[in-house]
Amino acid sequence: MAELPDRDDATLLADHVAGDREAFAELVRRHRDRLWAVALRTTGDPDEASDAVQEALVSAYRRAESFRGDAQVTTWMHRIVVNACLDRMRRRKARQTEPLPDSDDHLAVLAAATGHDDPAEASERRADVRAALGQLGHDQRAALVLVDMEGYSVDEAAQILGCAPGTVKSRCSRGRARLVPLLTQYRRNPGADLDVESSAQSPADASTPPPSKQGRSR
Amino acid sequence: MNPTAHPSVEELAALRDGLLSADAARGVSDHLRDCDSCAAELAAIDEVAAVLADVGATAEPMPADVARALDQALARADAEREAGVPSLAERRKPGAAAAGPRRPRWVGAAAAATAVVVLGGVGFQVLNGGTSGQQDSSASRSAADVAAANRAAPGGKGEGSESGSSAGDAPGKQSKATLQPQRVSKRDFAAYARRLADQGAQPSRLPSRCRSLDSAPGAVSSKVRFQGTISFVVLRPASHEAAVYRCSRPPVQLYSTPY
Repeated sequence: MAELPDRDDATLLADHVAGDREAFAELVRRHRDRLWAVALRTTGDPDEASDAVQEALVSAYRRAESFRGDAQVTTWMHRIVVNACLDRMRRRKARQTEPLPDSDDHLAVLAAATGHDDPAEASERRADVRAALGQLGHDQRAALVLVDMEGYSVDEAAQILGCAPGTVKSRCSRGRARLVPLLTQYRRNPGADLDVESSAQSPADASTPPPSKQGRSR
Repeated sequence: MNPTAHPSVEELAALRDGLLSADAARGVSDHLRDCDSCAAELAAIDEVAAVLADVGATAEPMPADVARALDQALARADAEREAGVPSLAERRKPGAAAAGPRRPRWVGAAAAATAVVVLGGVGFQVLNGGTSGQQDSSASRSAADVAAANRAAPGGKGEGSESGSSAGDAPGKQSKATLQPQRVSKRDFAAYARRLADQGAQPSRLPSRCRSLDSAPGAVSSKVRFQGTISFVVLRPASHEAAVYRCSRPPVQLYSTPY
């Protein structure tokens, strides 16, 4: 049998199904950082992400036979992890209906934040993005994490999320629109700041256009 | 569209992503040509996408403690598999339970008849001719841990732990019949009964049709494979009698012995 590093993902998964005790661990070693990033960004909560990744990968371990080979192994693994995240988020939402507790404090952070040239700023920016994503619905967030953050194509994201590509596209589009007032501090065009400041003050209303932009017509 | 009305951010985003009808797209585009604030708003959407991509491109490796917990969870799943919990696919195969596993390691385990008996969430590691090493021992513990955890938290963490998987994996079902019962013969039955008694085991649940068998105080029951059929061993500590039953209706006693 080839050395572990030489086997591709599909071979490793098949070897795992055949009883190879090292194969799945290698598969996890290869992809866990990326799966972790997706889970963390989708749930916005390290504890939830940790639980979701764990339960998803144990589940993947057990039902590896169900992998059909019509998608990439990584797509399959992402799908299981993202589903576990969405399940947990739905369950959590069912338990507590209030929005994220720190959303008001977070606005202050958003308003105070400026450039992002040093590492502290970068991690702050990361936290800001995570918090802003937390304002979105689960579906929009999951789509944006996969497409904009992880760089998956719309088609791949659709496979992972189990929905049509058009659905992914419109979730991303609406999600970005909602993020505009939540991430104003990162706009490069200072002239535009005044325009969106008003809407940034109440993220709860982010779905409604600011007063100057009510001319909706289709 | 009214050329003086500003499109919403959603409409601008939809235009950007090619989601508007041709008519609507033309209207918004016309408006954009003359409206700086909407053009800036459109640029802001691009910037949102850019910030997401930037942040997404920064590595966020799995923290060491998370990786450790994950490794442990996978080691438990591995031990469970080695201990003989059939995979979902194998459980679905017709005659899978009797035919036995096709995995090399299982075959070894089954041939040595060292199967770890895990019943209703309770694991007994049954000693045998010395073929079970350290690995089997940890396997039995882990399998028992998992089953016990599933049992302990029927509405909690155990639930949904197979998120997205098919119903056949529900933890509640796991203890039912997915584990290979210990093979016991008349010859080693008394020894088996003594070991079972020594484990101080919690009674496992008998099928309802022979529930009456273990109603005696302190009775312990355990599922085994006896003379090729799934049977239940019942220990009656008061009389130090061990009996094995086939759980037909009514239950048929196959063998009994003092222990």
